[in-house]
Amino acid sequence: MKDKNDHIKTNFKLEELSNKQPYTVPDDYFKELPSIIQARVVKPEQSSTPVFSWSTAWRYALPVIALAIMLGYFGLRINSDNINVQAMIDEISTEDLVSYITESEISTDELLSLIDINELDVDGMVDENIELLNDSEWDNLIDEYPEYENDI
Amino acid sequence: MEDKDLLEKLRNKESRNYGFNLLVREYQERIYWHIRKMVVDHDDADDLVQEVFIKVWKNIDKFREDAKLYTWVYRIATNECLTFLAKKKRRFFLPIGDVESELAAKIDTDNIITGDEIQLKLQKALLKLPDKQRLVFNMKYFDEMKYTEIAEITDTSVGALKASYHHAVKKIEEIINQG
Repeated sequence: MKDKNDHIKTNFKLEELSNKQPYTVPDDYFKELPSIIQARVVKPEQSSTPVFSWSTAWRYALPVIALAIMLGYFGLRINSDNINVQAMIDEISTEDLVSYITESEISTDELLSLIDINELDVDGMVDENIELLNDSEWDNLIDEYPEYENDI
Repeated sequence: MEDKDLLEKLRNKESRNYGFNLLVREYQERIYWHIRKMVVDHDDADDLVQEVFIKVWKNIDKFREDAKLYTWVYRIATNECLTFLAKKKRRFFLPIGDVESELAAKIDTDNIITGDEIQLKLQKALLKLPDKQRLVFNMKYFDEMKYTEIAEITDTSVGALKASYHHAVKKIEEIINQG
């Protein structure tokens, strides 16, 4: 009987051989491979999506809370300081304020530079102050500004 | 499925996973066998196949449609194979002959060949070819690819591929006839 591999030893021609895939492969390998690969490519994307955790939440929330508390505390203090300053000024009489300004050596020009004239009701202020003048003050005023005597 | 339809699914965020699954199912066997014939060992082939498809997933946006999709995937697989084998040779400073012996021993001991003795001899003879020539031989002989397709994948001229293939066939027949 002729050996089936005799042709190998004599005159082997590649074209006589089947070109089917030569290696064995585990059962169901090609059934399972797509899901294995899919899991590998999808997994990193899922892990990159943020997962809620209290420790992470606190890590980000704490500085914000601390900042909010600080702002709230200082904001209240600033507001209460404003209220106090305004209340204190209100309590000071006009006479005391005038004497303070007189003693403080602030010139009239310096005072005027701090005031926005456009915002003031100058006419109203003049009328209001003229009404406060008594007779002797009127006389002094006319003596000081004789050119306006006919206007008053 | 046409490349165009597959690419449309792959590039659409909502259908990307589905499109990728289709692509893997479409090409997995061809790519696996392409790699397996080069690296011999199933576990190595399995690792490389997965790497190839992960690279496809990551780089699909870079794919230019001037080539066929499967040519592009084959090209990635080919590069992975050649890089793997080059690393294997560099690792432990093994000379080329020793890698060939290692792979031949695997063929002998692991009972991984499906065919008869002649198939075993053919696979061992193939290991005596340079990696790139073996690659060309596999694509032409086992995968029955056209020279133009192989030229696209390997970036080699059709003339050079024909010469390489015929030289490989002659060499294999000589090795087997001598054995």
